[in-house]
Amino acid sequence: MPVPSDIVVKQLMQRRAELIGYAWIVVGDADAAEDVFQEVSVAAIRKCDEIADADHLLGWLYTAVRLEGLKARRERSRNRQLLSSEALEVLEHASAASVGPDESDHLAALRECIQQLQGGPREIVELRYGQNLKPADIAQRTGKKVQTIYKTITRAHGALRECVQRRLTSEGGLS
Amino acid sequence: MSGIDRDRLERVAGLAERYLSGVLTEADHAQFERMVLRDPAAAQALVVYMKQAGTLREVFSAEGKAFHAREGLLSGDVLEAFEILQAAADDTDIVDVTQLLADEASQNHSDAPRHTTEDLLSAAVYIFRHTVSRRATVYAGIAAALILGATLLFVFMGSPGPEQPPTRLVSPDTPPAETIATITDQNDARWADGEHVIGSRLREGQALILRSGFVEITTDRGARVILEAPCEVTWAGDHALRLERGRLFGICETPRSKGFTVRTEHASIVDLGTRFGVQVAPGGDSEVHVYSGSVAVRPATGTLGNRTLASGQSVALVNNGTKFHPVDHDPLAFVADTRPDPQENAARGAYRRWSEYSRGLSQRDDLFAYYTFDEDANRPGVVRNLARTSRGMLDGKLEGDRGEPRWARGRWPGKGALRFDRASRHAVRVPFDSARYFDQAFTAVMWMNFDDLAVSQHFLNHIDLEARGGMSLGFNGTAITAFAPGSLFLFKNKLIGGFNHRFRQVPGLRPNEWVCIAVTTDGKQTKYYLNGELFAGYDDDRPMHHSKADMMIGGTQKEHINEQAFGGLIDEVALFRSVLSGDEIEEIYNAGKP
Repeated sequence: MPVPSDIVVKQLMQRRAELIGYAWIVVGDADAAEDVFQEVSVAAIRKCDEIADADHLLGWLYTAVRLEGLKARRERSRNRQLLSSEALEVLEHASAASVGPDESDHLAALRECIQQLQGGPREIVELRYGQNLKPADIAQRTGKKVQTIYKTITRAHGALRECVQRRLTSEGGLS
Repeated sequence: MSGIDRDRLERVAGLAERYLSGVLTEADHAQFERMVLRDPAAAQALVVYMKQAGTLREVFSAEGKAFHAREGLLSGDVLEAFEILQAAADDTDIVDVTQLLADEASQNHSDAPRHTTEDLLSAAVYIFRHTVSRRATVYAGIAAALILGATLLFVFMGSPGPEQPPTRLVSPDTPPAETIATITDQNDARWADGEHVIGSRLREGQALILRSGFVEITTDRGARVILEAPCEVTWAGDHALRLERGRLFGICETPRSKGFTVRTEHASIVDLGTRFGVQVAPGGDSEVHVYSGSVAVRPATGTLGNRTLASGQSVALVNNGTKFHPVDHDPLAFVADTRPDPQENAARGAYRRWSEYSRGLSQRDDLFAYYTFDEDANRPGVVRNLARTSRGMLDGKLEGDRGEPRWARGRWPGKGALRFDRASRHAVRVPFDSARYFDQAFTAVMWMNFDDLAVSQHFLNHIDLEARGGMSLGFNGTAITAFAPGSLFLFKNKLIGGFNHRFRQVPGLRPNEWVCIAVTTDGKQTKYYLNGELFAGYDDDRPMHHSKADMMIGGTQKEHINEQAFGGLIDEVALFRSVLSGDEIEEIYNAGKP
């Protein structure tokens, strides 16, 4: 049964962050990832009646992101080492498999946990993801070592992961 | 995925961060690739990282914030519009995107043409041509976000005027027979040749060099002259003075004062009962602006005839007085009082700075159209193109369904602008002329003031529906909520065969505020600027399509996107057949900021 367009649009809006996150890995550039998401959104909305059913929608979107992203990579023709299409397919399957019935709760918890980031880590994460600065640029701006920036970012990811898990099992905050 | 512990995630996140930063060594990259392919837990950890990274970007980036702010605005109308789009697309000669994706997968990702966006625009064209209903109105919001062009605005503001300590006006004494004029007022005046106090009498042949401030001089026949520093004058008779350099403003409102003459190196400007200003630049070129009544400009050279100027007219005398050159009438060019209003004076400073810069800009070889949106009283309903390379061509005409764009105040008092009413589909139409041709390199700079940022709108375009292509620059309000609402977009290609529509959220854009928007493109990259600062750029190898459609400013062709006209003010548009650098765009902004 074709997927109604309102379901497609809702899914695009709900999954925007993770699809862009995936596109980022595919093309290696945040702005290009936004472009890929735009292309995929256009295609998904216009062709929603050709997607088998709602259960296949997320998979369709991930595949479209991969293909559109690979196309973008070729057009950019940069000498940049990026993951192979085989590796991307593995990620695609892992993404589809990771979606559970409580996915919206998971995203809500993640957003709440992000709000709990404070102080220096928050500043660095904002520079990294809000202003799209690379760790080397952040190090220059903040006067810290590049390794410290990497460590702060990876620890922030670890803390967010723990916080989300605690929130989904019981109430808890960032540690 | 519950098995992904913190340590594993941190290890994977560290690699992913280095991967995205492009600093992995070849060996590290190979390890990263192997890890994803062979270690399911690592792949799952990377998925967690991707979700977190995407969500962090959404939470912290301006674009993400704008998206969330509008997330709840998705309406039935938008969905309906998508449905219309699909229905229309079924009737057009389009490519099956799903099939394209499948084909591409089967071809092991070999190069394939881009069709996704062409399909959408094909459908849009179909709708515009064949649908006359409320639905077309709804759809227009989407199309506006897909068909885009860029424009720039220029706003300029200057330094504040001089300090204005109070000065007492002293009535002149009865003039001695050998003197011809009196200093009747001054404000913060500093002279190069000693002291001249209020009440000082001036003789024929006397030179005055004013270093700073303002001075009023009244001749015995009642003509008043306001000198604005820096200024040098010499009294040349009982009813004339010679302006060596600087600015003066003449007020000759009594019968006896008529005929007062200002002489310059290359001309005599004879008052015929009026208020007027004369400026002599250091090189000797002069300008005359008339604010009421009329004046006669009599060149010293015998080869150039006299010219009479009426209120609202201006002219420059250049090339050692051998040539008249048209100049924009400038309401703020001269100070008509020794105590100008501080606010007005600050605006005057800014306006002058912009005027000077604007004049230089108009002479550039790469400028092919330039509209300052100042009303020409002699040509009502016309927006003049001031670019030197195409002057006399590419003038615009006002149009609208209900009335026309109205002349309004621009960035400063005296600076013109046009107010475009969105509901009335106001626009400026510039008929096609080959003078607007450019190759791939293009820059548009516009000074604009948006009424409403929640709606989508075009403000510079020449889409040709028959040729199925053209260019358009616009703003996406909430028409497509999933695509970076609050973003600029540029469309510059064929409707079929590949086009580009990149939405870029504009940080800090607010309604009812003058902003300078600029876009550059060279066939390889497109960049967006707001108020002189680059805020987005992207790779863009789509060629510019040169349609022969009329160019529309502030609106669209009537048969095109009916309800996506611009709403607000525009007071300057400059179009270049070159790619301006970031420094040049910043310079334009600084010269014109209000």
